[in-house]
Amino acid sequence: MKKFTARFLLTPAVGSLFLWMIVPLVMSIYFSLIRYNLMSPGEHEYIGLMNYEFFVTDPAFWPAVLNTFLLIGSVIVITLVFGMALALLVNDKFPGQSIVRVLLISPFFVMPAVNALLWKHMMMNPIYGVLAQVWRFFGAQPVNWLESYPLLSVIIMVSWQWLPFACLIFITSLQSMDREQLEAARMDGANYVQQFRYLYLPHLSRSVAVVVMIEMIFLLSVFAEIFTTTGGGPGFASTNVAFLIFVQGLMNFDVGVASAGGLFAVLLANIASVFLIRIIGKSLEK
Amino acid sequence: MSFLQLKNIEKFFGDHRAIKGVDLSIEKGEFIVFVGPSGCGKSTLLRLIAGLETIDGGNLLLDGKDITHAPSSKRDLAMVFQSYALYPHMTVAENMSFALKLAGEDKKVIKEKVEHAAEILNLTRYLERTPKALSGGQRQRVAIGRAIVRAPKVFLFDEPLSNLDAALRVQTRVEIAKLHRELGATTIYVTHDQVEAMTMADRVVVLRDGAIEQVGRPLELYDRPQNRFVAQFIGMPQMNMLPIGEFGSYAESLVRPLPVGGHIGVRPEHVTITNAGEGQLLATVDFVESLGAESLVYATTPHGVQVVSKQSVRSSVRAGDTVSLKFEQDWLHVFDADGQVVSNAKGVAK
Repeated sequence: MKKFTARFLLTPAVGSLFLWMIVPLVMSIYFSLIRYNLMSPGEHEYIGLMNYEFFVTDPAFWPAVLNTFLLIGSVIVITLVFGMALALLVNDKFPGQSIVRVLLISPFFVMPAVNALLWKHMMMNPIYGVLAQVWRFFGAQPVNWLESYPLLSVIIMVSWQWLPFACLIFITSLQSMDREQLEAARMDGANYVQQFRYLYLPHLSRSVAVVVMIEMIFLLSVFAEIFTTTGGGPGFASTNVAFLIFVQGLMNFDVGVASAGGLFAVLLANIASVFLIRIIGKSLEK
Repeated sequence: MSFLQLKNIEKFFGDHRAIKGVDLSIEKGEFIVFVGPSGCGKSTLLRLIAGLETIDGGNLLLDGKDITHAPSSKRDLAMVFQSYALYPHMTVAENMSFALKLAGEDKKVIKEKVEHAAEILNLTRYLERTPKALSGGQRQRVAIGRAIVRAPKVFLFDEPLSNLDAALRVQTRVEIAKLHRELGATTIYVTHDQVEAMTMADRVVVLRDGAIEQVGRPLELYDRPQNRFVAQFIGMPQMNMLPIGEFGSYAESLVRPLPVGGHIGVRPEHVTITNAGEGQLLATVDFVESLGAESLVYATTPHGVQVVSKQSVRSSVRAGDTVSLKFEQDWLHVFDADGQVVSNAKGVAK
């Protein structure tokens, strides 16, 4: 009886969450199996897996997959390394520590689209951008970032946005670092590098797992930065899977292919998460 | 020349003078216990010796070498921390060998040393486990093992037993004392527990407010306290302190000239409860604690001073009874108004 009541009371929440998930999924599956182009009205006849074939054989497909992994991989590595370095740097007490910490976290509060515009105009513009000024100061030819290094530019923007997240997780983790352990290590003769290698790094391993997992989930769907800056180009140089789906659905108006692409992205995310849980699940169990 | 010498050691935290010029000489192989109430600076003093805090004044000499400003890893000391501070992701063996590994010692030598230490501490079976899989007592032994492996000149213990339960504490106390006898290593041990101090120490250092109150063998402190603080800090239940005025003319037969505003101290075991008229003071019994082997009688004199009497026979007095307190004349300590001793009990000499 008690069990039944509990289940009964849970039903609205579980039910609405289930609908929230299942309706779009079923609709995507349905759209992906029919001919459905907004530019050619008429019958939406069943065409089997043809939409999938179109999506996978699109010339932009492989570059998009590769770019997705490059983007995720680089951003995770950059945020881990710099996040850890910054967290260790601001871990010891110094005057103005709390202000510095707030400033460190603040990029996380900037909207992705705004972030991209800031970088596009303020930093990377080859004529009046800050980076161009720096290049000119040293007598170098300013770089046209978005044109010459489109994917790298996007990686820089996204990294800047996600660095605070990693940093924040590491700062909180460092605060739970046992002081006596560090003192014991000092008495054992460990220098700073050795303390990092043998004490800080193992202590932070759990946070690393959290950062990798969460960033992976969110970075699979990076879109605003690409849309507002490079528009996926030049060519497909900065197109990722999420952006390719957008192009198919809202620029080519092919809902069917876009839905197929969306389901491919789901597959991709699942494959990635299986590996992740294998690797990270182990470190979380400890 | 003594082995470890503290010369006028000082430490400031901001404006606060936490350690007020401590002088102390420790001989090789001695077991020294720092004891005092919380906040007396005993842990700070230990951390100064360990090099975990910087020394602001004075000198620290170990084996003839000035180590006042040497980094802690170069001081040839090993410390056992209150929380044990074991490295959680390393096995017991890795924990114990960490210092040697960092020092670049030969792997074979490290293995030998670790195995030897594990044997002494009965840890051989647990060498491959991580600290998480060990009980509190075992972790404690690993922490000690980590110190032994380094073969330091001085062992430092910072309240190592306070995280153990009562039964294990007694057992580990005995083990540490035994270990000290076997290794003969110079040891400094910090505790707030006077039982640990009394049972383990060759010499006890009583600290208060960052200064040494008295240094001596455990029984010496018990029998000849130099001031009221030490008298009351050592011994359970603590020494009774009675203002000299309480005794009237009787006090004059004890000491002349009488210290004005002074106190007479007497340990509970030297106060007996007698029938009215036989003792020196009348008092009303507040309550009686019967512990089986002994009874503690708490009584209040007319001036409102509480006196404890410890008796090895079961007492028949009840709360509310008026009794007479009899003090053994040979066991009275007299303190002046500043709390310094005027005369210790005569009974000790006998």
